[in-house]
Amino acid sequence: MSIYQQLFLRDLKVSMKRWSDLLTGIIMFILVAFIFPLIAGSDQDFMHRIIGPVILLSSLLASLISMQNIFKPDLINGTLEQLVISAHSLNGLIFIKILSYWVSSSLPLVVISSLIASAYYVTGTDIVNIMLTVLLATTTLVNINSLAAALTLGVRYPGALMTLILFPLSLPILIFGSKAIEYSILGLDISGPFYFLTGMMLLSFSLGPIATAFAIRISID
Amino acid sequence: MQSDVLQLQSASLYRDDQLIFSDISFELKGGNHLVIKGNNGSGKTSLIRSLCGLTQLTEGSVLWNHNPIDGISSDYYKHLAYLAHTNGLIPELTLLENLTYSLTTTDLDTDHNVLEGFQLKQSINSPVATLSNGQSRKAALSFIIMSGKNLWVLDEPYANLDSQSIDYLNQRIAAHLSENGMVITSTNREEVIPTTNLEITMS
Amino acid sequence: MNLKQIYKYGSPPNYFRLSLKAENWFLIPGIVLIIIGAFGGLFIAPPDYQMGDAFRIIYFHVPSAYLSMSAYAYMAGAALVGIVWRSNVAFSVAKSIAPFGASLTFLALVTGMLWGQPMWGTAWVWDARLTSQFILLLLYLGYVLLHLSIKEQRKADLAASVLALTGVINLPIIHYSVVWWNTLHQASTISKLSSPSITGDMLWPLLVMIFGYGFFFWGVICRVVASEILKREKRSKWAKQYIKELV
Repeated sequence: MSIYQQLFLRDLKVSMKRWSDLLTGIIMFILVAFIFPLIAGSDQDFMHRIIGPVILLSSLLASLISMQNIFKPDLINGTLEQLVISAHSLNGLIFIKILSYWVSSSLPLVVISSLIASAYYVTGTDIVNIMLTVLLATTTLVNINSLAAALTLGVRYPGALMTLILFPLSLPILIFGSKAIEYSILGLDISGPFYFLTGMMLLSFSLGPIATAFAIRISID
Repeated sequence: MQSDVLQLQSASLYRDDQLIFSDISFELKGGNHLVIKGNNGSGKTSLIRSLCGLTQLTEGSVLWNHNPIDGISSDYYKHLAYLAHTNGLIPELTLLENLTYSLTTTDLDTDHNVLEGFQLKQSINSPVATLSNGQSRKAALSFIIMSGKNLWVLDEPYANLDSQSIDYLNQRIAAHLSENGMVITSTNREEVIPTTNLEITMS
Repeated sequence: MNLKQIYKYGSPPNYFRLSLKAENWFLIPGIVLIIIGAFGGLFIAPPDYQMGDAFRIIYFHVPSAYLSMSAYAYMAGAALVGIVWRSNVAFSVAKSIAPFGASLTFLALVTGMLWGQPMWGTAWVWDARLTSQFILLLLYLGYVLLHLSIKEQRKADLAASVLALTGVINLPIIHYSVVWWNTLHQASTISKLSSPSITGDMLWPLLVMIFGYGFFFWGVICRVVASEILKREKRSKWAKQYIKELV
């Protein structure tokens, strides 16, 4: 078993044990999506118009609330340091960590978004498109979150700072993600936004781990 | 077997404007044990972290086999096993799981006698969170011993250990040194550690 | 200029002296240009046939907006130099630019809103440029806040520089996302907010103001960078010597 497989499986196992942390993000996701129709109105046209922004906003807030869980526990128990001084490329190790975190924190959201879509009176292939959008958007969001978390590892109360860092950087994903969903529901061509989301996913997974690894080295100093 | 050598050259560390330590040099060869002594807050941990490349020195450099440890051609980290103040163990997993998924330990089979020596064999299937502080510390030490790495850097390894474990640790250190291994230890105690070859006192 | 000369000018004492010397070369032309440009814009340029005298605020809005964006690029460039060459001087430059860049962005937003209010009755419009300016303000504030939150200065420099670089890479992406989003939500106000083709007597004060703002900004930065360098290097011999001579 290669070292990367080992780390991936280990992190996955650990996040299962820390299921209450995962639940925080998932609950946030569900609640935000739930609140909108309750307070803003629930006729079908309106729901179809807001589901794009709501799904993306829910993803953003879910990732924000669980951001510290990516590295803080490992910093506290000392395993983060051990990664840094291991004989292996930190960039590769952090890539695996981020990937594993994405699997455990965001894949449930992909599944749940299908239920939310049904609740918002969305049917057919639109549900698949919504799930796909969440899949792609969360890959970029998780990388931005990791970078913000790594930069603020040493800061005592990083709440406002994390939001400040997160918001501008995630804006393109929010815009194109909600457009993708909107176009799908309106029956328009969705390829444009989807290409963009895929492009951002590739960009963030290639540069993200490198920047995050660098930020971790700075914070541990 | 060719002897490896670790050198520290004229190292100084400032954090913002505060001096942590200045102008420290040493050369450590295979089979030798360096002990860093000093009271709490004298800079032992900062020195050790600098030796591991975690903290950037303000002046001076760390050389492994005459190459800077942060250089591209350096294989320093293949030879380094580091015990920090934290144990490097995941509390939610069992001891055995930590061992299986460890990035540093190599051979599982021969290693259980180390765990036995620290009287941890019976706890191997307990989550690390349920172990006492002393037991976790011993587990972390076992991982270092089982890592198969050449250079052991241990930050206050004797803290939290009972005397039986201290003796066992000293035994393992002696065995490692006799196989041409290198050990660096830091301690805030006055008593002399057996097998000391080199000493640095921080103030 | 060969590499050796660059290193020489990049060393703290030399850069310090260079900044102080250069300060007045930037400040004075800057102030002069601003006075000329303001006079030209406020009095000489003819009133716009559509907007009357209220359009004159672009003489303050446009230079702030342009400068806020180019200052971010400079800040990111200094951040890159700082990371690659571990240069305290470069980090000083980046750190100094940040609060002033943020203020410029804020000014651009405020003047943009002052323009909007008499024109269309609303202070804020959700068009691409104002929104981009707001995002830029957040990026600047993120940098400043990150720098303030990390106590150890070297760590703060490095972390904030990573943020600046991430920001500068994302800036085109963010800007074009907002523009794209805006072209779908066309509001009639957009065509009014974009500058119509302006020529002659309306144009030259604008150009003068842009240059004036630039020079003035860099003059101020020179002074701030110098003091930042002195603060950081206060333990070194040249700094102690300089302070002794001052007192």
